[in-house]
Amino acid sequence: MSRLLKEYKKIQTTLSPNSTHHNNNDDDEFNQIITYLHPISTSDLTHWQAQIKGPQGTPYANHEFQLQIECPPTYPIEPPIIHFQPLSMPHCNVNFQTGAICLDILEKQHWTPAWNLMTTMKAIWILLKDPVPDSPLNVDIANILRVNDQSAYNGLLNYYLSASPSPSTTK
Amino acid sequence: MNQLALNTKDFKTTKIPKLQEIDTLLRCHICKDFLKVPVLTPCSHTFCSLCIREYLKDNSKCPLCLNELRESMLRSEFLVNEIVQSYQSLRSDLLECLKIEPRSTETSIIELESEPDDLEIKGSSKALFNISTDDDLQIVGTNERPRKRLASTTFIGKANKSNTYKRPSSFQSVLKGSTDRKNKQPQAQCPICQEAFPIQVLERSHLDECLTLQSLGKPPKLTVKKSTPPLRTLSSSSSSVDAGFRMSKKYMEKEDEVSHTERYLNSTLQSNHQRLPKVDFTAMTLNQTKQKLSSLGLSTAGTKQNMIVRYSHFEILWNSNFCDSLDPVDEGELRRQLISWEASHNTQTANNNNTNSIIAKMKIKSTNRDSTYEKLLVDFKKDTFNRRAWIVLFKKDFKRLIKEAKEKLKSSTTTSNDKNTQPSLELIENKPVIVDELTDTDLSKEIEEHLQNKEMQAFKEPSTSTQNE
Repeated sequence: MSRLLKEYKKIQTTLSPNSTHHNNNDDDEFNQIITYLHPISTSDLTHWQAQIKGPQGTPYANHEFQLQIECPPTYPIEPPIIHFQPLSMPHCNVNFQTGAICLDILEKQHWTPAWNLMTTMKAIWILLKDPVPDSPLNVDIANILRVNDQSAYNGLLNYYLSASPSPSTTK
Repeated sequence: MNQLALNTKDFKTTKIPKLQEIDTLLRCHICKDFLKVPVLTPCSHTFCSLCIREYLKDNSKCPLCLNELRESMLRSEFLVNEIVQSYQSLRSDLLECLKIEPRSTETSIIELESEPDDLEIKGSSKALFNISTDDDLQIVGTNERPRKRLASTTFIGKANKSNTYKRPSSFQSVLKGSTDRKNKQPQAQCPICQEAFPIQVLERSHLDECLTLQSLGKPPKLTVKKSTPPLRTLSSSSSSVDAGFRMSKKYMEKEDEVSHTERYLNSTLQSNHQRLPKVDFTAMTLNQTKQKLSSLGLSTAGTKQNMIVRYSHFEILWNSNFCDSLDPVDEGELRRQLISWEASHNTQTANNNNTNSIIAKMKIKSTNRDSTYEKLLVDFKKDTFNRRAWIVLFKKDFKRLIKEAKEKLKSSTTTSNDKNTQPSLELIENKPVIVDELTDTDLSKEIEEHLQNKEMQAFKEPSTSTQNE
């Protein structure tokens, strides 16, 4: 619990807008990835929400995506449970219906306590940048990726992203 | 020390923002706190003893490099332990000294009674400087040197009749202590001649030079420079920082603190306790498990699963305490730690649902005083039990319980052993909130277990009186 408190403090100083003045590169990077990352209620640090920016050069660019984070009582020995907002993320490693993410570091055997919520957000952001069609949760998108049909891939993703009801597409 | 308030970014806005790197390096990657009883892995990574043992319970790899790692491979690191502790004790002073807005030098005025003869001082301060130089080169890491150094700087200060010498000297020593561990520094202003120098030059030679020359009332000369100490080692740096603080009145009270250098040099593992072995509970019956636990003085409440969890955490506490720690606590303290750990991790195990539900019920009850209760609960989980606040918060309930218990005691006649708890249950059934879990017979046991925590005496009065019924 005290570890989450420490992370919260660190996140606040790293992501706060006024930290941009005397920023180092690390902070800059996180600010470019994460729009916000905070606990839903300050009295309960086990439930968090976050919003990350779609990486440039991908169909996700200029979109923002919300994430729900749940930290088990055993965190950081065990990984946090992270979901995208359901029906908001068309990605070959994300279950579109539930928002579940297939990412090795989010599994017990690959997670290490040296990760924290900010680095986990970065890992998810990198997953958006480099989808892994070999272990898909969204088979349709994975198949398109496997045959390397870029235009179909971009078209399908753009369709999803513009049709998505989530508020994250407004930007 | 309130470590929760300490952020790695604290140094970002100081004169040496790079210090935040040390601040980060001295922290455990699991709990993100300063290393507490650090242990070294074969892959050369360092973690808190408790953190890594807890992690290795279910995993067998290093959290940082994923190399294979087992609990028996961990080795205690006394040096890091002392470095961290020394750093922690200096941290707030460091922050204070390195604040960006310059503090006025008047704050450290020292009254000088008599002024010794100028010529004499010239000789003595020079001589002392030579001594301190020799010490620097020869006796590294002992307590001799800083004291002599202290003497020499004091002399200079007296000689130059300046009210500014104190701050620069302590400030300089602080810089030395901190920058020795890291070699890159930005420029800084000399507090005496106001000129900017690279910190390394400033701390190594310039300040001493400036001070000496000021004391002699002469313009800068290069010859003095050569007599200043060029060598520093990590072990001596902490004592030079100590010396710096001894010079300043503000830190006088710290003089009686243990020297970390000494502690390190004298450190040996002097535990007469054996490692607590891993136990294969799967092959044991419930009774054997109970025997095993009670032989260690642990509670045997709950299911076998609960006991296994309890034992394995006690094993971690025990091994960390007796195998890694320099100053281990006794077994009773370990048991206390175990109980408060169980209280704060009750969501994991089934039986502890009892306590869990108590907490949940209390939560519901105190919705109107939500924030206070939440805060108290958080404090409790952090092992800082605020007895007074709990008493205040639940004063009404306690009073009523005591009153009810007393009345019941008067009216009730003989009761059998078996019915002992029954009246108390009825009693509290009047209370709308805690009704449910009090029908649970395990509850009284559970409460008793909690009461072993002596800090929980706040609860003792009402609940024991109900149980005495």
